[in-house]
Amino acid sequence: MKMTDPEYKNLKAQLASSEAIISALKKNEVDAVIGERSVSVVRLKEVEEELMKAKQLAEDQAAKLRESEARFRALADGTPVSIWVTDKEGKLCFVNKACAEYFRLKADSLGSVTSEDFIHPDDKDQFIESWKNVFTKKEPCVLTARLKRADGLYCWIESRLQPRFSENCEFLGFAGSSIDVTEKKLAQEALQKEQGNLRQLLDKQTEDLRRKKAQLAAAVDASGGGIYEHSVPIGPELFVSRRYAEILGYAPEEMPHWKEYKNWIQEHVHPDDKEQLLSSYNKFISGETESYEVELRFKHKRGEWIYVQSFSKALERDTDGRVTHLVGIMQDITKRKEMEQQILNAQKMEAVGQLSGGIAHDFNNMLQIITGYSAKLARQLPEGSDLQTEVKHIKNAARSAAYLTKQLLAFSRKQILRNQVISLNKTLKRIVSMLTHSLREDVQIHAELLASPDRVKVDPVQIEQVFMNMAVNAQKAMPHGGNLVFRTEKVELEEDHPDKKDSVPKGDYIMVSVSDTGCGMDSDTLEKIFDPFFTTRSGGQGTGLGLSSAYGIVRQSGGIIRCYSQPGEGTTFKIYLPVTEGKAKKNQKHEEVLYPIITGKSVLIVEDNIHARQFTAEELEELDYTVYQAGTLSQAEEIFEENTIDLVISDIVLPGEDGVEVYKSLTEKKPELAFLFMTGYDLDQSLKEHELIERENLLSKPFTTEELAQYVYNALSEKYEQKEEGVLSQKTGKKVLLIDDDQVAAEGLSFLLEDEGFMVERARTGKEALKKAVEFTPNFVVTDIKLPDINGYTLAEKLKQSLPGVKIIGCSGFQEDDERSQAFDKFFIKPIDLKEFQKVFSKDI
Amino acid sequence: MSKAAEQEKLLFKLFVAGEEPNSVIAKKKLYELCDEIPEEEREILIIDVYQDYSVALEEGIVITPTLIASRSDKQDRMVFFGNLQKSNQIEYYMKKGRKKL
Repeated sequence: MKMTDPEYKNLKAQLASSEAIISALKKNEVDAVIGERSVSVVRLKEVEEELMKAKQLAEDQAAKLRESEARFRALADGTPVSIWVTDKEGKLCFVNKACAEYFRLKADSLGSVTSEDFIHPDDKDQFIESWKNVFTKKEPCVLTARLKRADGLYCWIESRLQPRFSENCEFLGFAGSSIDVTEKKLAQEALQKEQGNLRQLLDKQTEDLRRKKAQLAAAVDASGGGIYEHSVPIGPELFVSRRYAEILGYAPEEMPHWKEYKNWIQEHVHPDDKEQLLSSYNKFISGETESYEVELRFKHKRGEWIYVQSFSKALERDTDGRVTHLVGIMQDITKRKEMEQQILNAQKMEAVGQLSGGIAHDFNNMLQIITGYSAKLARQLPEGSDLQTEVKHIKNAARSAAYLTKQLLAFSRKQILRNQVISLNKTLKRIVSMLTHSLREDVQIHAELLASPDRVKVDPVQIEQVFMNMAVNAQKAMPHGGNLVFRTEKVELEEDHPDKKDSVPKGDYIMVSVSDTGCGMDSDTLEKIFDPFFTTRSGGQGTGLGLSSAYGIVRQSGGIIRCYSQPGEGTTFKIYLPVTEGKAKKNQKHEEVLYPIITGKSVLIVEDNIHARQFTAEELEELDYTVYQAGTLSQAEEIFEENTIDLVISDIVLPGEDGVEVYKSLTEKKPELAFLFMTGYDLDQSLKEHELIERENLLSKPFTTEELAQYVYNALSEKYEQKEEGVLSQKTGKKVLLIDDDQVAAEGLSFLLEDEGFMVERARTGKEALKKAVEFTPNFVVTDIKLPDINGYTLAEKLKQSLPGVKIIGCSGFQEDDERSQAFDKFFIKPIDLKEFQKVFSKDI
Repeated sequence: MSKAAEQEKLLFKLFVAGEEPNSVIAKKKLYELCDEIPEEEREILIIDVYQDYSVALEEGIVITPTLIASRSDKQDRMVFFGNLQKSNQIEYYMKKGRKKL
């Protein structure tokens, strides 16, 4: 059958479709086949497809793994670092090329090799221990040890270990990398060694620095200086040393904060020194001065002013030259300042002493004339006449003036000191005993006589005068009573002793302190306390020479005297006398000391205080007076009736009566009776008690033996002068050679001697005297020490040679050398007391 | 574009079997190919034989995926079998068909 064209076309189309469908099926691009009644899903190749996919995946992964391995090996072999892998036992299972070459490892022997096979014997134990730890902990770590490389040398190898785990966390071993750190290690060792050396050097230098700093601190400490350092203006780095704080009396922690420091300093500086401080400081800070040095007063923590010296230098300056940082040292110069003041005082005292000594010398010469002529004049005038009384007043005034000049001489250390070795404790015991009975009852006296040995070489009379002066002053300083303490102790005066400020040699001294609990003194008074004529007492009560003569006596005895006092806190005098060897005289007071006395006289003491009376009686008996004692007026009258009494000494205040009544009663019985009053009360007040009581006949308690002797002598000589006048008449025909270049003085004395019946020849020089001595052959020579050609000592020696047996009497306006005055049979200080003078002659005739 | 063109479009009927793999591929490929033809010049019909195979029977479709491409005036009808991965003939048809529109 022949097909038509459309049929052919249709069949062709169907065939094409079928082919296309088969192709699609073959290609597996068909999901479903549609039947007449249902749709059938086509899945014939699904399983095959899955298998194919799995196979493909496996092939892909294998390829990837091969690639990864190839990449890893390429990387591992390409790196110079040794890379290796161990199994969980620690055996090597992989090494890279570098590792194999470094340690000469072969692939076939890896399984039997561990790190331990290469370890340095010295590191083995430690390494094995570490290796075990690493495999126990299974953590990343770093190990360093010496390992043997291919050429047999040991090198320092640093290995970094990373643990390996499977997907199910099973430990597989370690992967690691190792590098040669030998150079680094050697460099580290070299560095450590270098560091060690540097540290040693640093330690040494630090030690040196520390030592030098300590030396510097010690040196600064030794100098007594305190250091300060601060910026300008003061900042938090302010530094003050411990010593600095100590100087000002503070502990370092008590010093102010830096913010308050400047104000604190200004508040503590003496108001009078502030301007100087600020001016100097500002000049220094502004660059006007190179350094800064001031001396100022600073308030110590104790509240007192101390002197400090501050010296600063700039540590840093700004471009304008202004100081921005400074360092300085401060020193306590209080002692130096005090010493300077002491030296000034000593110089002043020395100058005043010389001045007053010179005046006293001339003054004594004049007094010699006044006393000489007034005595003569008095004798020539009618007894009891007004004129004679007036001349006696002149004589008394001259005598008072002589006492003043004597004190001046004492101050200027130009009086005669009859030095002898005494026991100071004994002397003070006696003075204390005397004072106990003569000071007011409200003044308690204590003695702590601890010095041993207690021997000093002094004039006992003068030293007694010194202590009596102090006791009297102490009593006046305690108007309402108090304590007076005498204390002795042996001290060693070294150069640094606070009281050793005068030029006395260092050595052993007896220190006598006399302390009272009186009103004390302010510093102005204290400064002038030893000045001649300085007195705090109201008009006429004091001469102002008591303490200055004490000063002179102590200084002349080779000692020093100090006074310490503050208002309201009492006063302490300290007297240092050099310890001497030798034995004290038994009767140390009177054996060598000549007091003026009139022999053969009897004295009645009227005093109700038995101790005071007994003491005075003993003193007078030692002066060879006959002494009677009475406690009341009636007793006195009784004794007076029964005995011949030449002098009565009566206390002003007596129980029931008073001294004036005693005077009236007894002088009524015997008008020529010599009479003295005694008082323990204020002198001025006592003088106002009665017109009969005068300064000349009033003994003020306490009195020294010398004062007592002098008053007794004066009172007796006043009354019995006329009777004594005949004594020298026996000397008629005796010859006196009088040598003095002072014409007026010589004339006065010559006149007196001639008046007494002597033949007097005068010479003005030594040469003239020697010549006249041969021609005149005198029994006595009276010579001044200072002559125009030769001195009195030389003249005395020459005269003794040419005129054996001649008595030579020296006289001078002031004290001469104690030893040299031994050249004379007797030595007098002008004005010569006529009575004493007479004694010398009467003894020899 | 002429007035006639607004009325005549290229019509694509794709017979698929749900979300079976080749059907999904064919759908995706058809949309890719049609992206180059303005929307007003073509119309796509997706016929899921799982839902209704009567239309497939009417059109004489025996497998899925099958694409019938024609003009709206039923001229130049073309049938493509499989998942349309080999798209050369379809692209050719589209070019030719569009020229005729």
